[in-house]
Amino acid sequence: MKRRDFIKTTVGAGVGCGFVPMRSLFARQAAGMTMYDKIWDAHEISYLGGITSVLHVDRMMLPDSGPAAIKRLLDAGETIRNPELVWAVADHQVSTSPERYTDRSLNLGSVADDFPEMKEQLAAMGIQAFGIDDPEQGIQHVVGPETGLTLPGMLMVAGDSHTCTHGAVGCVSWGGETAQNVLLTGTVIRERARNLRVNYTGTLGPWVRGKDMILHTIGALGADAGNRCAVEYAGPLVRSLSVEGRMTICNLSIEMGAATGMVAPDDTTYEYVASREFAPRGELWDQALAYWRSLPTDDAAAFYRDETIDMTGVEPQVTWGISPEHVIGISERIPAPDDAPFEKRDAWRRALEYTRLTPGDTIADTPIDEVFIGSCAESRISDLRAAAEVVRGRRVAPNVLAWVIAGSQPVKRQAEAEGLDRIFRDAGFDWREPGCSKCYGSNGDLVAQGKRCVSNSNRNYVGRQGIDAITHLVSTPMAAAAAIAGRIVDVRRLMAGEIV
Amino acid sequence: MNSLKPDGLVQWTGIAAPFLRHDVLIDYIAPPIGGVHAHGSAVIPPAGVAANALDQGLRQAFPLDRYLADGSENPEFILNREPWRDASILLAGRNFGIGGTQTPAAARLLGDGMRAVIAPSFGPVFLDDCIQAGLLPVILGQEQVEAIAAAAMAVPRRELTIDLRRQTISRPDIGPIAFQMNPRLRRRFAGGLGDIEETASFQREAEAFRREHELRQPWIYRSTGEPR
Repeated sequence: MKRRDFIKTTVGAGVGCGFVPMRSLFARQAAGMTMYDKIWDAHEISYLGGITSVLHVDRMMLPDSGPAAIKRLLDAGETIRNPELVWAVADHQVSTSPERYTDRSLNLGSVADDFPEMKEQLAAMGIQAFGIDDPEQGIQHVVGPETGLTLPGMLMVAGDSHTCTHGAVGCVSWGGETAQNVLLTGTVIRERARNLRVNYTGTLGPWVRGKDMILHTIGALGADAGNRCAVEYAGPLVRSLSVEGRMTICNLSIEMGAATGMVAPDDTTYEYVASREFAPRGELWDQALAYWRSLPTDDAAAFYRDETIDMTGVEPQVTWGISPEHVIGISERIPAPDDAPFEKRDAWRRALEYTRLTPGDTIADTPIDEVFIGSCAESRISDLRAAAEVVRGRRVAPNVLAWVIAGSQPVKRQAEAEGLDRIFRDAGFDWREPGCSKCYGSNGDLVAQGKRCVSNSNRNYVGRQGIDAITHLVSTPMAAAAAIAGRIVDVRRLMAGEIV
Repeated sequence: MNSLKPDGLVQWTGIAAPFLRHDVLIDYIAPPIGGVHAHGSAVIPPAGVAANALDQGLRQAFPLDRYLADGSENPEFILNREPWRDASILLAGRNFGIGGTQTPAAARLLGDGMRAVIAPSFGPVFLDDCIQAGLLPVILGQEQVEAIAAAAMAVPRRELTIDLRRQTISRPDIGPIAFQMNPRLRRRFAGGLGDIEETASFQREAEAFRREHELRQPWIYRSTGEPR
C-alpha cells in the first residue's frame, strides 16, 4: 500500500478522536517534511504513541476573561513554569469608549487591569501584561506579531480560537488551551494534525485582497474542510502579500475548521519582524534567522491534501448567511437552498430565514444599518489605510452607524499620525479605542437588535454581534464602501464613480 | 447500575436523547455573551435569551431552546420531555459544536447530566473542550447515529451502553456498534484525567527539554521580559 493511501484510509476511518497508529510514516521517515511537522517535532517533549505528543510551549497568551482564576492560582502560591514565556493583554472585555481611561467602570475587567496588585505580581515573575494604559495594548492577535512576542518557528498557544492568526509569521499557533495547565506545566498535550496546503494562483483583481482570498477559499472548500488539519497557505499570491495580509488569511483558518493556519517565513517576514520591540537583536538575530530559514516546507514533503485556488476573476466577497462558507462575489445573486448540496439545504434555508434575504436577489444594494471596521481579522494599519482611501472626501450615509476601531494602540497612533482618524471622523465614523468590540460583543459593544451590519470581522454566526443581528462579512474596503453607500455595494464601482 | 469510577468512565449506561440538528453552534449550546465576566458584575443578556431564562441560561446548555419568550419551559424541547429530562447521552447531528471561542459548552452539558455525545462529526474547538472537560465524544457514521436515534424515539426508556474498553455502543435491541478512539483518550476518560494530570508526569522531561531548548533557541527566552 502506498503511503498516502495508507494515511487516507486510516485517518478516514478513525475520524475525530484520531486513530493513526504509526506516526513515523508521517514525519520520521518522510523524505521531506512540512513546516508544521518541523515545528511540531522541534517542540516535542514526549511522544505518547498514536498521534499524540506532549509539547513545549514557547508563548502563552493569557485570556482577559477570567482574571480571578489566574489570581487564585497566583495567590495559592503555585509555581508557574516558564513565566517569562507568558503574556497577557486586555482586549475582549475592555470598553472602546474614549472615556474608558477616566471612567474605569466602563471596562469589564482583564488580567492586566482588574487587580492593581496583580499586574505587579505578574511583572515580578516576568509575565508581560498590557493593560489599557500601556502603549502596547490592543487585540492579542494584533499585539503579538506587532511587538515581536510572536516570532517564526514558535509554538504559541492561548485560549482564544483566533490564535491561528499568528501563523502568518511562520509559527504554529492554536487556541483552546486552558491557562491553568500551561501555567502549571509549561506544556500542552495534543494530537498532531494532518497537513493541508492551499496554493493560491492567478492574479488579484483591483480591490481584492487577503480577506477575499480566504472567504472565497472557505466558500469553495467548506467550513469544515480544515477539520483536524494544519493549513499552510502557499503560492505566489501569498508570497506577494504583506505579513498583515497573511494574518487576515491565517485568522480565518479556524472558520475553515482548521487546527491552525500558517505561511512559511520569507524575506517579507524577516523584514516585518526585525524592528519589533521583543524581537532578537545582534548575534541572537543572526542565530534566529539561520534557524528560521530552515523552517519552510521541503519540496519533497507530502501533504494529506493539496488544494489550488485560482484567484483570477474572483470578485470582492460578501457573506449572505450564518456561516463564513455562505459567501458569494459582490455581483452574484443570493442562492436558493435547492442549489445547495443535499445535506446543506436545511442549513441554507435557516440561514436565509435568519438573514431575511430572498434567493435570486442581488446581494448588492441590500440596505444596511451598521458598519464595523476592526477585529483581529483586519484592523492593522494597512487595513485602515485601505478603508481611508475609500472614505476620503466622502460621507457616511445617513442612518448608518459606522465604527472604526484600530487593532492596537500603536496602530491607532500610526493612523492618527497619518491623519486617517480625521478622514474617518470627517466622514461621520466613530473613531474608538482598541479592543475586540463589536466583533463579539463581550465588552457590551453590540449591534442593535435585529439590525444588519456589514463587518470586516470573521464570524457571521446567529447572534454573534448581538441579538438577532445580521452580519455580512466583507473586506475592510468593502465595509467602508457600504458605510458610504448605506447599502452593500461593490467598492470597485464606488471608486470608479459609478455609485454615488 | 453504572460502572462509574469516582471520576472516570469505562462503561456508561443511560438514556439517550436524540437531538439531530446539524451544525449546532458551540455558541448556541452555551451563549458566550454574559457570564463570561468573572465578577458577575456586568451581565449582558445572551443573544435571544428571554430575560427569565438568563439565570438558567448561564448554567444550562441550550438556554435558547429550553425556554420560551415568556420565560417558561419549552415543552417541545427534547431535554424538557420525559424521559429525556434524565438523559445522560446526547445523540447529535453533523458538526455538533461548530465554531466557538472560550465558552463552557462541554461543561454546561456535563452540568446537565450528560456524560457522552454521539455525533457524526464535531466542531474542532468543541471537540477539544469535550476532551478537556471530560465529556466523552463518540464519532459514528451518520446512518448509525440516525438508527440509534430512531430506536431512542421508539423505546425511549431503553438504555444505551457505551463501552470504552470494547469500543462499542449497544442497546438490548441494537447490536454492538464499533467506534474508534485512540488509546490515550480512552486512558484519559477511564482515569478521569485532565491535562494537568496527564502532563504532570512529564515535568522532569519538560524541564530538561526547556534547558536544552534555551541553549538551542536562546532568543525565545532572552527577548522576553526585557522591554527596551
